[in-house]
Amino acid sequence: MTAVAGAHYDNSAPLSERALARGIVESRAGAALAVLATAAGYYLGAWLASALRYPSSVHSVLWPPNAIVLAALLLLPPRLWWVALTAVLPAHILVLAPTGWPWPLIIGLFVTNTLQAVVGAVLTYRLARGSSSAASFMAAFVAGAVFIAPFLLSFADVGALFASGLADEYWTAWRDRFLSNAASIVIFVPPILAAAGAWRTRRAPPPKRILEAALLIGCFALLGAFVVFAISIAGWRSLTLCLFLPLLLWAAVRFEKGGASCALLGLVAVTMGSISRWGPAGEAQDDILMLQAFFLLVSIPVLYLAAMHSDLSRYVGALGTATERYRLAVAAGSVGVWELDLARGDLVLDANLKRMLGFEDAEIPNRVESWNPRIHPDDRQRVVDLTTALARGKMPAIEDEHRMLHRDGSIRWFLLRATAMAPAPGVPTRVLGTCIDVTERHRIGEELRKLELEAEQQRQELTHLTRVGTLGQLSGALAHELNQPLTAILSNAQAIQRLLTHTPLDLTELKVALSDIIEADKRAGDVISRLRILLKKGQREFRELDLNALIGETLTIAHSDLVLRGVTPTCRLAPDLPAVNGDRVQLQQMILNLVTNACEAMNDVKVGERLLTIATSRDEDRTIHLYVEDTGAGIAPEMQQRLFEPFVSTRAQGLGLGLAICRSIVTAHGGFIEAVNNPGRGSTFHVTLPAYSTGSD
Amino acid sequence: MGGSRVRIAIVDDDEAVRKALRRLLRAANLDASAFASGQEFLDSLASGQPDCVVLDVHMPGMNGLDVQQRLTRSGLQTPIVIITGHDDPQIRARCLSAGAAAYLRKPLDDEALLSAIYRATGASP
Repeated sequence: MTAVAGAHYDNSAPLSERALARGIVESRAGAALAVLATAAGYYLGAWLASALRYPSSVHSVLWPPNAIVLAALLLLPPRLWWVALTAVLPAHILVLAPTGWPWPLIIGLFVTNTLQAVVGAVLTYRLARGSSSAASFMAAFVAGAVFIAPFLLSFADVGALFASGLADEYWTAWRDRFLSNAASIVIFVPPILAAAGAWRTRRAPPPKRILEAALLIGCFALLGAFVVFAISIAGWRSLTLCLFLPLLLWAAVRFEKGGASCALLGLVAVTMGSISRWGPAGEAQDDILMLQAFFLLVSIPVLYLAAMHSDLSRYVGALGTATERYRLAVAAGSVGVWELDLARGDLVLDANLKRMLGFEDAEIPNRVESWNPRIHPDDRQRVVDLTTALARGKMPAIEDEHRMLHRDGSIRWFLLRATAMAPAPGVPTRVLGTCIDVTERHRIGEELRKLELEAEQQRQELTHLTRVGTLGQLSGALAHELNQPLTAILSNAQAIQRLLTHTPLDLTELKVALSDIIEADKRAGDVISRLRILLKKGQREFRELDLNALIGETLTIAHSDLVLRGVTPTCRLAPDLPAVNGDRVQLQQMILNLVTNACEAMNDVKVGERLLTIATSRDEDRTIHLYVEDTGAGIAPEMQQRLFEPFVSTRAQGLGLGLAICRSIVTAHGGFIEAVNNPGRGSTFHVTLPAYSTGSD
Repeated sequence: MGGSRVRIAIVDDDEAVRKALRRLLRAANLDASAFASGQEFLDSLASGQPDCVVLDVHMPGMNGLDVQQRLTRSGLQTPIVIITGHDDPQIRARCLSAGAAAYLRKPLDDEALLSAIYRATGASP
């Protein structure tokens, strides 16, 4: 039994009653109740059978007890089957004891009856396995429990009776028992299962439904009353019973299995009522057989119809929900789906896809030639190439952002993603894709880029302005810087004029003088071109630079200023300094600003003690360090935090932008800048920059 | 002071300027020697004094004003012709009030320089 039980704990049959029942009998109390109910039901079923006895006959039209046992087995988990069956034994004994039959027979009948229920339950699950539809469960139930189990077990049952001499003819008895059990099972099991299912998902039905049920019951009652009280001619009974068919169909379609099985019970009640009132149509035995056959033949299609209809409703409902979900998701996300059947060349375009471009579904036919023109001409070829490559199996999936032409002429950006479906590796048979409208995201991206560009431009403006400003401050010193070579040129030239009046001519001296002029001229030119570079408002150009050389050049530019201010510069430049990746102009600006700042910090210091030190060093990890030290008064504590902020100045006439520009430049170069007070006197500005890297190290 | 040529000391930190001025003065028949710093010049005084000093103001370390002061304090009456590439009225005032014979702006015109030297030394061209 356990092996069988294991096979039946089948999780792939969610609609089966077992799945429904599991909820009821998970608890011990529930299980105990079910077991007791089975035993009680068995006994009551026997009582019912006697009530359904044909007048002037010992045979019952229906034998409910076996059906009740089967229903119990279908509702209980297999591990509890033995409990239920054991509980049924006393009821069975109670029912058959009054007959006075021999005990071995009674026990034997118990065995055959319970076996019938077991076989019926087992077959039902076996046959329904792997399918979750109500229709397949119903088919399995009818085949296994209604027909096969009684068919087989009737042999044993009747055999036992026959052996005990209680049956006259084997085959007649067999036929009677088979039909009786089959009809009982088909009539009594479904309503019990339906009741259990309804109990499990007990929910108040909507008023309309209650109304409809009341209407149906009303019609049924009316028709039933009519049949029972008005149709006296027994021969017409069968005909009039067929009048119930529409009501049965109504019950099956509108109230599914529960409604159908209750209606069938109602039919049984009406029939038996009519018979008890008007008597049998003919020979009791034949009548009974006809009735049983009638019940069987009517129930099976009606129940099957109910099952199919409930499946249909379920599928339609699920489809509706899925469609609705899809529609909502698609509408919310501006997504369209398309599918290309490669074998047949069919293109299916989601209506939403067309709507995203401002077209109604019918306005763009589902053809590639109709869709492609909507792609922006500059992107069209690329999209076509990608899709073709995907269709040929050259890549498993594609993703591409491209422009589409909206109906109103505007441009929309679509993000296309598609995959190829290939049932067998090789050439795909279908291509499935989605298109998402990313115009907004694109627009935001564009705006961001524009803003970045503007910010960059403004940064350069500002840098340029401060550069000019700084140079303005240096103008006096620059004039001085240029004056030296000019002086040399003029004095040399005037010396040459005088030398030319000497006799004899000192040609050597003249030549040297001329070359000195040329040198001085070049030097002046140098200063001017360096100035020009510094003044040029150009784009940033990052390249490999030698920081030490830059410092030297900057000091040359600032030389006169330093002299003017009486500042003595010292350099401690590391010889093995790695190159820095930077913009020459900006880095020079930064150094210049730092130097100027240091000089100004030492304004109030005695001339001989104005020491400016510039040092460079490197780290193990190739980070470059630049230090600009002064011997000024140091940084006041309240200035520490705000030093690098723009428009913060300790001087009356200062824009306060120099250090802010420094920080901006340093950050743009991926470095850090900080200012600390020296342990002795003055402060040090410390810049770290990453070394130039080709990315390979 | 004698029939010998007038001796000029040129003090300027810029080499090109030193060489050019020395050439010019020599071409004008003056005896010129050049010094790169105030200290160098002052050290040279031990072995002889010039008749005139052509002194640049803006030099690193000891600037022209410092040299002027030192000369005055040492009692030497050597006339000084200040030359400068950076014209600052305040510096000009200080130099002149410290007793400079002339204050010339670079680039120097040879006539202006020479006449300043002759006036300062009382010599004639």
